[in-house]
Amino acid sequence: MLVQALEDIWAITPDPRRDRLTVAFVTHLVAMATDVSPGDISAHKRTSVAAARARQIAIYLTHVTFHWPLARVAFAFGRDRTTCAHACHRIEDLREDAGFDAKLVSLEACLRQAPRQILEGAR
Amino acid sequence: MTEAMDLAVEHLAMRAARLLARPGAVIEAAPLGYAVRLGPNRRRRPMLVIDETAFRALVRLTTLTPRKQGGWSLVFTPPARPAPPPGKPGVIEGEVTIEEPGLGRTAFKANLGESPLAWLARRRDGQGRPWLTPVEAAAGERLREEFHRAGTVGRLTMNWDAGPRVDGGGGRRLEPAERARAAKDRIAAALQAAGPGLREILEHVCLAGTALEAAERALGLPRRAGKTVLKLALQRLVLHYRMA
Repeated sequence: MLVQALEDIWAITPDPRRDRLTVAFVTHLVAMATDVSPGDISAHKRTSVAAARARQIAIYLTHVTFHWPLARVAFAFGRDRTTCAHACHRIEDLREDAGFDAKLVSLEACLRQAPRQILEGAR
Repeated sequence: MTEAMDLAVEHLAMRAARLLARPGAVIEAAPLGYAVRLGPNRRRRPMLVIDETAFRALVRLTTLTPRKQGGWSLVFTPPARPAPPPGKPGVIEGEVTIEEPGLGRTAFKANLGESPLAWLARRRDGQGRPWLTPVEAAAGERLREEFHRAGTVGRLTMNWDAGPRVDGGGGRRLEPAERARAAKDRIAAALQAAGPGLREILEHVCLAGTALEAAERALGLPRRAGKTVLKLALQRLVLHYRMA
């Protein structure tokens, strides 16, 4: 049964621990950019409007910059896959606004600057 | 107004291009415009829907290729690297400092691979004969090489070449200072052989590397007489070096 559970996880992601670390990295970056505490972003409850929006931004950034499938993003954030899909669509729709778009572009650039070996792991 | 609309359309196209840059992303015709999908699953809601004008802008800005399954995907075109400049054989770009009458010592761009002698050897007179015969040009080049050797020190470090360690039997090797001394002696003998009236032009053209015109001015020769004088001097040199 344990083997079955591990195989289910490995079907989603090669290294769940490293994914958690990456998610923490993105969460703290978004927390710095949006003035929401990282604890609120990673909370299991909704917490506040600003925290929910920051959480969506973090999910969107992880999905878009690391090219992870939605299932992997959802597993790393500990949320439902459709929740993550909804977050990605919400943020993509919000990018109509040029100011918000510029902010996200800078965040994406920041994440892409992070060395690939560190984020992907020295495999 | 139109400019703002153009900007908005371009913004939308760039957003679509950014999403399409992801591997596996595809854009396809949808009931309302064109839908950008990040994966092959068509039952999911598309990530972005763009209209006809934005799609045209996207086609203009990027390269899309049609897929077998329908839709288009983005082709990565690496930015073209600028071609290296064409080579220039025989050209060594450098600077020479020349005394100008009005300006004093001035640096000019010059081709260091070109000597006045080589230039004159390439010129032809009215009958199509070269100004200098190959032997004369070679004699001048030899004098120039001697002068160059007199100024250089030669190899001072240990020779670590992996060659055969057999003495060629050439006798005692010359010390660098001796080499320079010998070259200076040979130059003095050659200039002596050229004679008092002709050695000045050799000094100017072969040793100092000045242009013929400048040498004429410095020596007080009539204009365009330098070529003839130089030819005579080089003929003396040929006799001295026993090249003819």
